[in-house]
Amino acid sequence: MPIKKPSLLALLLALIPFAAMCFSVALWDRIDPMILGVPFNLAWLVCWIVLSSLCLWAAYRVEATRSKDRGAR
Amino acid sequence: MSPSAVSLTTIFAIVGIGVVIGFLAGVRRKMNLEQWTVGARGFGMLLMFLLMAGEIYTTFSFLGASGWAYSRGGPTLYILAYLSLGAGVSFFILPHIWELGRKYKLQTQSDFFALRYGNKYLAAFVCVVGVIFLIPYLQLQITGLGIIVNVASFNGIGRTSAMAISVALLAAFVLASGVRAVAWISVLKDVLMLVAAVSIGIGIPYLHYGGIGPMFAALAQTRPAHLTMPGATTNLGHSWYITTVLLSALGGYMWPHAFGAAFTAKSGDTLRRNAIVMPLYTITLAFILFAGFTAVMVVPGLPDGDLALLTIVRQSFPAWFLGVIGGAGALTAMVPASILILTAATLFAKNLCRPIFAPTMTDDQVAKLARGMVLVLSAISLYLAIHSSTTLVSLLLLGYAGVTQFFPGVVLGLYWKRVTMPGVFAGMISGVAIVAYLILTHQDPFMGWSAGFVALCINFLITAILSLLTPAMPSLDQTQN
Repeated sequence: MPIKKPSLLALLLALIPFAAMCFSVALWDRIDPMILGVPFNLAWLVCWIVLSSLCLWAAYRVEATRSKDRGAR
Repeated sequence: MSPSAVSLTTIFAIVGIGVVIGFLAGVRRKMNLEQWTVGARGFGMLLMFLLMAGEIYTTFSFLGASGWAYSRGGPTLYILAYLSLGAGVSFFILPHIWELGRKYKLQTQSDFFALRYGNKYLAAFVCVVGVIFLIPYLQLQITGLGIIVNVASFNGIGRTSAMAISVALLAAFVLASGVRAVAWISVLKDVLMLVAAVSIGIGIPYLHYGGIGPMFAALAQTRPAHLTMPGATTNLGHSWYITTVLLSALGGYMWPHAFGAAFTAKSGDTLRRNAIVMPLYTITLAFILFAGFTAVMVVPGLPDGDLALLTIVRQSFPAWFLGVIGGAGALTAMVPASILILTAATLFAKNLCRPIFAPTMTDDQVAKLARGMVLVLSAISLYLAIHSSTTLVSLLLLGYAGVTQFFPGVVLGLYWKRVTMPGVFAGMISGVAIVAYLILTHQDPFMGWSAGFVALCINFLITAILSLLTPAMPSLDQTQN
């Protein structure tokens, strides 16, 4: 299948949210300290929803510059 | 007017407006198979986002998420995590699927498997499994509709008749329109859903406790264990969380309808940018959880957690506002349900009947058969919804466990040259068999892990080992050119 592999950097960027929202659950699954009145675990996830969007945007920039370089060559 | 008449009228008005929007969107286009299923591959960024948001944020997020916040507590947080992470997975998969779709005229998930692995029985198997596991998802939407009408009528209309009415409306709507209509109704649905989520997420804690902070403080004092995992359960702890989030994130775009939605895009880039904004939509779900957590203290002891959100809305707001929330909820059930029916019917006609039983069928005959299947599938899901008592979240998790078994075949098919048809076929059969066994014998979670994830691991292993033991397949470029 004629697929170009994604760059390592883009993959790493996309993996950050997995580390933060999934694997590290034991570290942040607690009530205190409450953030703006919201339990810590819920506030942490909401915060990372926004950050995961940013991570994907960064991955998008990385991939876009890469394909531009390839096109120029 | 009595409160139930006010709320029901509001709901029907909202649904009516939605249906009119849908008909207008489809009215000037000729409905051939390509237009009906993939909208002639012309969806730009906005329509694409609406379609994806329309099919991912369903009545499950609305009633199911709050229902679990109410009845299970902490474990419901998995919903906030997996939707964002699923968008990340789609970023690396969907654009390539779209690319192949354009090049080889693919319309469905099964088409992809037929193309990549060159075996019509594998493609038919994918189709059957896809349709089977779409049914609990469809059943979930119908159950949700039943709950909404039932609560909004102050229990005046029974759940069964409410579900029957909604199914009839749904089937009529799907037959008349197609995928483009569904995307446009999503506009109304998304706006209403946003208004509903924010107003109940802030309003309900405010009305009962004077704010979100005081509400959580009260809950943390009276039921501290409810807010973390495993919450009110004994077996939904951290290993369940990790495996379930992974299962759902990897499987999110393995649903035949979500996978098929990729083909409606205008370009692969549209799909990448869509993945970036997708997580942000999840924030509305946090508000819905606020309402669910408030309900723990305000309306304790409900027989069914899925009733929690609407019951507390009914208790806190005037009847017309219950109608607005109910209308938003009804659209969040009807939009995805239409896509689910449409996808399952097309899959059945195009990828099962034609290749296996009637190779001479024309596209028009396939479209006709698909329309017939719309009625059959609606009837089956209505029957199941009437006779089942499972919670909305459990229904969804059952579907996810099933469709995620496609993941190895898709991701390895794209990125690993050495993967072979026998490897994928055997892996998938074992995955589905393990899911069926563990769930039917009530062993989910299995040793603390999500059953679907256990099956996925074994599926991956078998696919990889058998692929290495069987001769490599010629690459697609060589066979096609």
